[in-house]
Amino acid sequence: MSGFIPTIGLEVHCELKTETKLFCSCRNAFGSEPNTNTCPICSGHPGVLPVINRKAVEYTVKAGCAIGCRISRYSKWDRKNYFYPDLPKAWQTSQYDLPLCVGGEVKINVNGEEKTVRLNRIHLEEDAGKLVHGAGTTAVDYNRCGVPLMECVTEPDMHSADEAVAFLEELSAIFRYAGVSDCRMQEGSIRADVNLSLSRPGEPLGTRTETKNLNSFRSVRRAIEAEIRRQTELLERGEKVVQETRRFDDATGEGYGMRSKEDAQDYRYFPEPDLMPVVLGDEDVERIRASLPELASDRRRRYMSELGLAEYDARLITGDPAIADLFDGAVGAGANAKKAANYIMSEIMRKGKTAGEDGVVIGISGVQLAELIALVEKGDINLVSSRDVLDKIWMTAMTPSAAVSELGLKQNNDAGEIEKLVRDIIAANPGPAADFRKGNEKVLSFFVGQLMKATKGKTNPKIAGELVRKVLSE
Amino acid sequence: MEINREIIEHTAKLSRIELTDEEEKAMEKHFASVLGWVDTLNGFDASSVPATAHILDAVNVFREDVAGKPFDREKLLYCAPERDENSYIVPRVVE
Amino acid sequence: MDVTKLTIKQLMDAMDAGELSSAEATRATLDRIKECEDLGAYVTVCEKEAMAAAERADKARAEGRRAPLLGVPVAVKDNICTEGVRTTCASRFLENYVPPYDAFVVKKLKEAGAVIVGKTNMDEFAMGSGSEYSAFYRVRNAIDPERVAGGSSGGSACAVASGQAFAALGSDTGGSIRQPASFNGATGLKPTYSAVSRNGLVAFASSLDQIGPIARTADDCRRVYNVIKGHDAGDSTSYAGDLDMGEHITSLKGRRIGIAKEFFPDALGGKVREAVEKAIKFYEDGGAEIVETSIGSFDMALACYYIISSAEASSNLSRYDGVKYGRRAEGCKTIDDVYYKSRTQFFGAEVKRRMMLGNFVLSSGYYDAFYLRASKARTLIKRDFEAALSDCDALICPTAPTTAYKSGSNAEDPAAAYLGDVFTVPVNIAGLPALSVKCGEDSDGLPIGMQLIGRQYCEETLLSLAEIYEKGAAK
Repeated sequence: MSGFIPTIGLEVHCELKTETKLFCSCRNAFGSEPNTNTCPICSGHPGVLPVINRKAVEYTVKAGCAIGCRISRYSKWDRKNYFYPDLPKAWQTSQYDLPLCVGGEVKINVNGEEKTVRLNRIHLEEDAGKLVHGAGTTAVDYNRCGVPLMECVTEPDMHSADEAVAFLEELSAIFRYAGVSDCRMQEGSIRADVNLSLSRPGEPLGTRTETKNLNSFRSVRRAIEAEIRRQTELLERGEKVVQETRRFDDATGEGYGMRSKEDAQDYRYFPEPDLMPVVLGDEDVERIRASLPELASDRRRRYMSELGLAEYDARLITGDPAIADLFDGAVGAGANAKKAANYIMSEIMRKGKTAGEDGVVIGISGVQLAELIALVEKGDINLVSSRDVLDKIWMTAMTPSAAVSELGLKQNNDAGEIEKLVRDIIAANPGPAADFRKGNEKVLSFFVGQLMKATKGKTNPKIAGELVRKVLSE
Repeated sequence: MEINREIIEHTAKLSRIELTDEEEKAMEKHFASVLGWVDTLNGFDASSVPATAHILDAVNVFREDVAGKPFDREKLLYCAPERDENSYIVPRVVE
Repeated sequence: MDVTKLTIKQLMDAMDAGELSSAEATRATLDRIKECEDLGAYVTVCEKEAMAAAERADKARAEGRRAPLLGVPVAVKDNICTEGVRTTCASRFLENYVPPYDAFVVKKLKEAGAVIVGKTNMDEFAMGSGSEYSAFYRVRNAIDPERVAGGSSGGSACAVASGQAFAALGSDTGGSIRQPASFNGATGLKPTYSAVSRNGLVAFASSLDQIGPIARTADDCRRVYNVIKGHDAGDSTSYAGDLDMGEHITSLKGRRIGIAKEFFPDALGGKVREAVEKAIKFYEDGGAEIVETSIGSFDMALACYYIISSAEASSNLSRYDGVKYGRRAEGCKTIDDVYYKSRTQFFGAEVKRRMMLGNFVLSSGYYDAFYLRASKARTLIKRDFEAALSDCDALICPTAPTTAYKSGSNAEDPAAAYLGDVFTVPVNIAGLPALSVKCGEDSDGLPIGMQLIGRQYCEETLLSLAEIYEKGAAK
């Protein structure tokens, strides 16, 4: 044990899911051809002027309401000046001393222990463009320039990679529920900077480093772990941690200091003369607050107390608002809560998973799901066939029973008919039948398998099993 | 206040401008002249006066979140000193 | 009849009467531009586009259509974007820049039927008071070519005064419309901040910049101003309220004209003082009451202006980095090369001085003492003007302390040139409208301008006061 305690603060950047950019009417869209979502304004041409997207302000306020921030009644815009090829105006329009949201907190649960991470502020700013490095040259794409970005700054309240990741997961869930951001790490719509320092218990915080632009929960975890190791080694050798901006290389798992810039810290902030302040009245804030849907933590509590889900299950179901909505829909349509939760966790999440931690795509309604579960319960289809039904109705309005008939998947539950088939199969396989009579129970499943094969999985496996035993035992 | 060479050099860096020795000297002199007038600003109690960033007192000037007609990319890239088919090109950027 | 000497009203009347076509007026203007090439008023002349626009205007007029400037040849300062026509700001950096869009005011001019004959020369990025800092060639004074045209809208003022355009757009951050108008004997209006959209005006100091007209008479200024003013949803600082707060004054009786003593310092030159005082006497004789008033914060204006305008400029001009448009220096191996070499090579000395000063006053450790303090001084200056103007229709003072000076006078001490802005910059700091109109000549025959300063959105008050003077003083 080194005896050092890490202290971690995060700056989390979330792109808002508005239709258009923050200051111009270009589309806010991911994955377009380079520079197709650009115009003179977001490309920083001479003479252009910005106009604020109302929705971006409302979304930021909504995000602030969701985590209990104080919403500023007066906030303003400032220019943060620096040269970089992804920043066409050579300043980022941001909010310096009067951000839209101040304070707030997020509750996280790590290893069964609840902790609170305090927010310092949330401000609204514009995203920068993208650089694509080639051999000898770098290509510049301004599609992302001007996309509205919330910067959420935490207090240094976290002390481990687990806590930092738990915070990010919870914050993402909240913003997804609030409907303000998709928080898709792979698309860069949520990114984090990690401020980290080490100190001994009771001593003042050590020198901190900032590792910038981490774009997956896994990178955040690995970067924190690597930085804790690095700083620990330095301190144990009696060396000093240098205050610096660092990057983390996912490929090597190592961090490295960025090329030092003498004037890196001198951003020469000053009030943006081209934009007027934002002034919000109580009624504006209340209107936005009222538009917030039930959030993840509230739903989680409801699922546990009213619907009897286990905490683990409730957490999984509420991890994404689309899943929670599906769950609520299915329960509302009469499905048993625990059965619906199980089916969602085993089948839907597997099918709906698209991009790892970036949330799921749901191609089925609550009503469809409730019926599908009922069909399995009634024994009309078995669990395996239900996957074919799911495929058939995914992204359509088709009812599960219509899909069952169309696919001819209706399960045979007729004991008389099944017995006839069982007798045929046993007659055709005298060897295994003899084995059973000698006491080899394993061949039971062989016969059921043969039967399923012959009937393309449409036989009720439970009835089939019982009948195989009965006939063999005659 | 004293304007020295160090200030001029730092400011040139912030401005991404290279100055010859002679230019630095001239700039120092120029800074001294203009900033000399700043004494005229010291005759009032700053703590009692709010700053003016805008002459207008308008607030909440917004646009609606509605996409406009896409702008022809070629009209923008046409202006670039170096480009390829779809992007601006600069010497390789090292982070 | 020399067509190029007509006022806009005379030209419109002649065209409406069928005595003159826009094509003829435009041809005459283009010929005059060629004759006056040595004055350096234009950076770009749009001969082909202008003739085509003139013919369209003639056709429209023949079809019975009318528009406020239908067929009138006008010029546009080269820091106002024109789609498809290069817009250089008289800078090497942008010498090849062809904007992909039209400025709001250019759209307005085109809608009003104006014929844009070209883009006028200026101090690089509008930084200067003599139009000597154009990266291409200096603008000469229309009355005495050995002297400066004033600036930064020197090309616009010179063009109007020498018959190379019937009116021109300029931009005014600290006097850049009024002072060159004064030096060339023209009339120039700097509107209230926010009355004319800045959309498409290449920014120098965003909180001070305003576009306005330079013309040969107050009435011509009014005609152009009425076309270009108005709310623009694309400029967040564009005023959405009533822009016509002024009065059309026809009689001076009962009017109050303010004279702030700070605008008549002891050092003010004899001829300039004499001419402006004579003009004040004209108003008094016409029945106006002359009111003594004061702008106590006047002494702070110059420092306040140079700090705020340079700070904003340092940020606004950082976008010229050799990446997206304009020039890039040869042989750049790194991105820093692109920045340093391009900016070092393609910006002129004055632009560098302002950007550096601006970066300094915003930089860490100096912000409070310079930028913040200037922003507070701005509050006091604005209050003083509001108080002074609450009691009168307009303030009158000289536009500039001197008449046009010999080119190169300030080469040794660029800061000395800044002192010439002393009467114009306070108006931009306060965001008020002001107008310069000729009120006499010095012993060399050089024009002297007086400045009328009014309340917010009271341009018409100033225009009509100037009109009364133009008509009355000519008698």
